[in-house]
Amino acid sequence: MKTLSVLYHLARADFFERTRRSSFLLILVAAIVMGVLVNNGTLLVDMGSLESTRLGIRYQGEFNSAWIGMMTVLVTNLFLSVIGFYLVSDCVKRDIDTGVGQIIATTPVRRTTYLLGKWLSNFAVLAVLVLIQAVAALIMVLLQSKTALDPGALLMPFLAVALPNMALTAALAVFFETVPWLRGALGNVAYFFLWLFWAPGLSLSGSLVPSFQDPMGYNIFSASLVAAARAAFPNEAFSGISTGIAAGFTRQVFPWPGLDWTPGIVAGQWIWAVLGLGLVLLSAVWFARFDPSRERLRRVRVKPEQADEAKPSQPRVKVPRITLPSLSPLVSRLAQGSPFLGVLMAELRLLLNGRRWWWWAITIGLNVSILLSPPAAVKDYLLPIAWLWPLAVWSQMGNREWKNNTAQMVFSSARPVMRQLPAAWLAGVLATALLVVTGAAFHITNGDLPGLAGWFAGVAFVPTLALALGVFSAGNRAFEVVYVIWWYLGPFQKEGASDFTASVPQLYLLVAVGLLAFSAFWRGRQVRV
Amino acid sequence: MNTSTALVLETHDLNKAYKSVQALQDFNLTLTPGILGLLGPNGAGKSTLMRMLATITKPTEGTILWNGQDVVKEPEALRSVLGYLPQDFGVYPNLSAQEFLEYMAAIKGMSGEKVRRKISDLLDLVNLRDAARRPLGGYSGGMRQRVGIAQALLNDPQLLIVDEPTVGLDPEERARFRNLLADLGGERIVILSTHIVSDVESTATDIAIIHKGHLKARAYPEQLLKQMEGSVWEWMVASEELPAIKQQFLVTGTLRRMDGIEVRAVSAEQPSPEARPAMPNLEDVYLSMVAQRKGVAA
Repeated sequence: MKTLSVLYHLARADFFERTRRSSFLLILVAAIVMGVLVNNGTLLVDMGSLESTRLGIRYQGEFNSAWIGMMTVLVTNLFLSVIGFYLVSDCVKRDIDTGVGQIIATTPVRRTTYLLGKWLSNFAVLAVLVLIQAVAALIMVLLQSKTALDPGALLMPFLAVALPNMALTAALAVFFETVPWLRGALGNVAYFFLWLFWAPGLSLSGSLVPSFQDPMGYNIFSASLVAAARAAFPNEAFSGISTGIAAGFTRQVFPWPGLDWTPGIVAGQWIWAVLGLGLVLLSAVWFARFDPSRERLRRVRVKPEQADEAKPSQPRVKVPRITLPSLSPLVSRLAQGSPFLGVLMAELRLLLNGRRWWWWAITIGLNVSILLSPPAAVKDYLLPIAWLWPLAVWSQMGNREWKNNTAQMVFSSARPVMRQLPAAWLAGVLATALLVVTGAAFHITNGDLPGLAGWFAGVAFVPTLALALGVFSAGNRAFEVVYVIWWYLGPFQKEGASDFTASVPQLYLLVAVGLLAFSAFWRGRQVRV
Repeated sequence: MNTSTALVLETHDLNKAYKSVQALQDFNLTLTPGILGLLGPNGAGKSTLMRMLATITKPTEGTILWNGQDVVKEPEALRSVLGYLPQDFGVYPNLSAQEFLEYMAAIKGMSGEKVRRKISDLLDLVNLRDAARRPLGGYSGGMRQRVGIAQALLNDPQLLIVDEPTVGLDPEERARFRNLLADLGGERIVILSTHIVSDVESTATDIAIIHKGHLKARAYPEQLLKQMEGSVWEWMVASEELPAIKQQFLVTGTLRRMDGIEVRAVSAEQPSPEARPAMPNLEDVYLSMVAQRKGVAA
């Protein structure tokens, strides 16, 4: 009984803490926009064969409660399992950052209870967003359905498919936060690839997937939908369903009455939630209960005494008898010549210092491989990897002042917007050029001038995007999420204009200028506030 | 609570190493109800000791016994009766003080109507009744500190560990907290770590001085003060003489007067013909001890 009470209060406090932030309003708006996009047909579920897709024909069910419920749930699962993960995966970190963790560590609360509370809180936040989608689906039925509202057919996909998937997502967020090496940029990238593995509906072929790869519930609907579509269009070779944006197709409609929700189907999908529970319990193995000596916890504000205790005490003789010398400003020789250059060098040091030897070894290895490997391998794999590898360097841009609690000192220094910010930006550009330098060499040696232009565009665009999102969000998460998705579509998949290293370099240079101006505007606002 | 006779906290050969740095070395201490003032310079190992006593971190070697039970192996034995106020703690900015205290009470294993009454009493005690429903994000540093004090007292702790508790409090609140601490010390063990020697002076029944991870002194305040008798002097000097005097003696205080500067210094012999003996205080004791450890003869 006591454990339940602790769980309730843990989840409740965490839920209130998140949902009362002003940024949560933005998330609610985004969820409502997603509901609207499903309503107006921008985000959808459809079917087809390779042949019909080539001919520009895709198939959908009639708009009834079952179809709208299923479609909304699959779209919700697809997007919320990635966006939702990044949204909620800061619950343990927040206890570290705020210092509440060190008080919690002294209470009798068990590690598993604490993590279960965080899981429930994550789940509650995601469930609110699912609820919004359910309301949007109800509105869609009332506005667009050809048949009367069937609450069971509409809501069962939410209860049986969306909620267990959110429980799994919530658990993965706890797991990724608790395992030390999955915390931070590496974990954010790793989760994105896990999501890709779990998102078979992204493919237009929509083929069936093994059930261990299907927490989003495609298989549950797939067989029934394929059977209904084949009955209406016997000449088509349907293989499964796909989800997302598929504009420009002619739509053919078939009747689909919905699923017969047996206890077996429901239980089968809730197994993902049980798996999530197992993951949370497993996380307790790594969770060090805020013990600074057992895991590398870094408080946002390191208290001076802690920092001192980490260093060997040096015997200081005659301390009480020190006579203060007359103090004068300490200015390096470089800064004496040009204050901007002084700040630039300092920013470069801040950006690149502190990397481990193996990080530099991989960076150098990657650059050497670009020079020595066959051009096809360089273009398809090595260059895209080189454009992802410095993620952790970029993601500190623009938000270091908040992370290290130096904002008040930096913002009260001389010219924080006109000198420090441009220096931070230029340091990012120079560091990027340095870290992917052999990319330029590769394009030059292959006589690939458009490629070289794309390299320049990337060097300007990526750190500027990092700076803008860092300044705007005062954190690293926004850039990490946006950039990984952008990188996947652009340099990796080479999807049209999203590839900033290959297409329309002049556009990306312009965007970089705009982002830099926005960063200066927003930083100016922060300085004034 | 009438368990004070049973309360004993002991550390035996406590060691803590962070990689190559020895933060605490062979630390032995036995505490019974009362207030222990823990003094020491930055980096001395005070926070490490308190984190180990608060069961946040484990010692590399040694044992911590609470009423004979090893809390390194069984921390639960202590956690349910422990109150801890870290020096640099945070709160959830979007919760109110009332909600935050309810949350802390729950994770301390408390529930029911008596929790509400306790929270209500504590809000009165720390003078936050009027602000109890406002988000903590809008609180001043002193108000947050008072919330921290309230959460530490929620479970009526038998062991209360407070690290720099009066930082950020205004003089009135500071006096109020010192009185509260003095009241609490009667029937439980209170460990007070601070750099504000006057806080220790006014509340501690027992003093421990820690330096470079070692326990350097452990005594009653009167004993420490007695040791310094005849070694503290006060006399008037001209402003320009002060730097030279600071080079010669351990100056523990200066006071600007109309006719010069009144210097207070520690010296085994009369430092000047005009110098007259003064009553030692704990600040003299502490500075003298730390200076000796740093190689300065007082």
